Amino acid sequence: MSIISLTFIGFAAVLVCLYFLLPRKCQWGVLLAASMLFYLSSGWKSIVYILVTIGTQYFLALMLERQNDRMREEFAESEADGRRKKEIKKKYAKRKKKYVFFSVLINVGLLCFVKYTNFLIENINVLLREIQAPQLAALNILAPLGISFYTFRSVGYVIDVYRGKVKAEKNIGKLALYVSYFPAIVQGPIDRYADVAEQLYGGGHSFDYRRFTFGAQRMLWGYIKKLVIAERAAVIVNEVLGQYATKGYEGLTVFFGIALYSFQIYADFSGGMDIVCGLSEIFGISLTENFRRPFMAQSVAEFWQRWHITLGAWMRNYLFYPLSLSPAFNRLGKKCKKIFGDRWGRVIPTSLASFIVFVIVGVWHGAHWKFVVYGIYQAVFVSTGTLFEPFYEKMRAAFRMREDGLWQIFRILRTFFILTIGRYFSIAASTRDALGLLRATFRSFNPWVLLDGSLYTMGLNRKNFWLLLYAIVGLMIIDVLQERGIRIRSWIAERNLVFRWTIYYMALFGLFIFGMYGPGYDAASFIYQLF
Amino acid sequence: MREEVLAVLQSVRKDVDFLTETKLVDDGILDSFDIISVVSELNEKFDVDITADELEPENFNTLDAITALVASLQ
Repeated sequence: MSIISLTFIGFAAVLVCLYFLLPRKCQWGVLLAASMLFYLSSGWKSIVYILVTIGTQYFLALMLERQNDRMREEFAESEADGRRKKEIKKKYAKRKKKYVFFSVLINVGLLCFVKYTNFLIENINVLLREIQAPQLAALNILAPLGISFYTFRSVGYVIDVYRGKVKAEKNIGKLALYVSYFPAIVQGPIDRYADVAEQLYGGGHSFDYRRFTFGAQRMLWGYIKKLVIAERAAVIVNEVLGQYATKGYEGLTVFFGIALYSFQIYADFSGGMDIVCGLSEIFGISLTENFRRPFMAQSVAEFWQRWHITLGAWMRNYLFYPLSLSPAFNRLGKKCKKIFGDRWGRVIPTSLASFIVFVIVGVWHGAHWKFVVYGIYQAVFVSTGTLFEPFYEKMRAAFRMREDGLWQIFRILRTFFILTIGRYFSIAASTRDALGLLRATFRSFNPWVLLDGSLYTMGLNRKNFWLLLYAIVGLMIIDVLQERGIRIRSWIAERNLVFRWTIYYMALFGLFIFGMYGPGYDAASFIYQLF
Repeated sequence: MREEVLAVLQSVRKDVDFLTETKLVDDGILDSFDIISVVSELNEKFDVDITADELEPENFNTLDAITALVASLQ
């Protein structure tokens, strides 16, 4: 069931009624039943995967909790002897790591099996072809809905139990709800257990009109982003990608298409988040925000703090920090300090850890070499930003550059340009294709295509084209307002009745009239759903 | 100890007033690179073992929280 289908709207409406009409203690049960139903609607065959995850993580977290309890008992007996406490901690850390190891092995193992087995077979086949050996057949593996997202959620939960940050959940049904909560399973957000558990099954939520209207408005805005902007932008983006070689698109035409893809993916992904966060808001559940006006970023590093925030936070908490503080990286830091001095001794290992994390994030996007290149591309900008910061500072001082508004706008545009070039690798069919697109972009300088009507021949007529541009400008204006701390829904709520309902009807009719729908009013799937 | 922790923090970020800031992590004043630098320095200076398990915002939001963390691990 796609979250942009009429079926989903009906499903959500029935669910909201049940959620608030049944006794409050049943609310988490209603959400669990709905999540399972939602999951089954995507195909019953893949449900085994998520059940394995729920079962293993439930059991391993309980085992970890038992170790935590024993450790606390021994702490109490040690009577504040610091040295003894350290020994106890070390002893239990060793035991507990085994459970975390199994949690990662089974669940990340399943994720890798589903996502990367055929990629591995493809690459082995390349080698086999070289030595003229028989080829391996690709496996027919069905990717279960949301496997990346629920794996990250559940592994994060087990690690948090290991760290003693949260208590293991004793009710397997409740844990199943956290892992499979249907709004967040399609493409996140990857909430931490501590942030949502209490909201999911802590007490019960009564119906709140203001929360309902705020949630519904956010959902509506999400649908507008997805159906009016993302689906419309996709027409030109697909035309550029599919036809650049045959129709000879080049120069700014190609760059315009890929830049448009930046807006498409933003409207697509953040629109999806608005829908699921809005629906959750109606339930009284506040999910973690995944975006913070990413196009206002003034550096690539800052962009990644504003884009897909929950994935970044997951990577930081469970990969970057442990890697950076690991004994091997400590040793590297000390060596670098001896050779290059204090600053480089600090910066080199951290930059290396960041580099590794970005490559992994790149590969997470899909089993393809182009995503490795994409990850490395991002990593280079993030790492060098830190490594060469003193150099940049000196340059700014030497050229007497002031950090005024103009400079900030320049940095925003520069960041957008760098990221758009990176998008060539994430969107093209292959690395070779991405390089082909880049060559086509830089072999010609043709700014007139922006004015001579060429862009109207790429699948969108003049009216639709301008509608898309106006909608993108509107999206950016709203981002700027939010960046300045203006709460748009609160602002609307404070207006009079006529004004409020004029806005609601305009948005609703805007969606009906300008939304781009597929057959049966089902739009294409979300881009991040495929990751 | 507070003074020594302050010196470590100032060696990593000279531009931050650690005596007044109360949301060093929540407000994004210290990023993940800064935190790793601070932790490496603290581990070395105080001979403690701050691991990834302790890297939660509540332990790094203020100078006092960081000092308390170091003290609890000694």
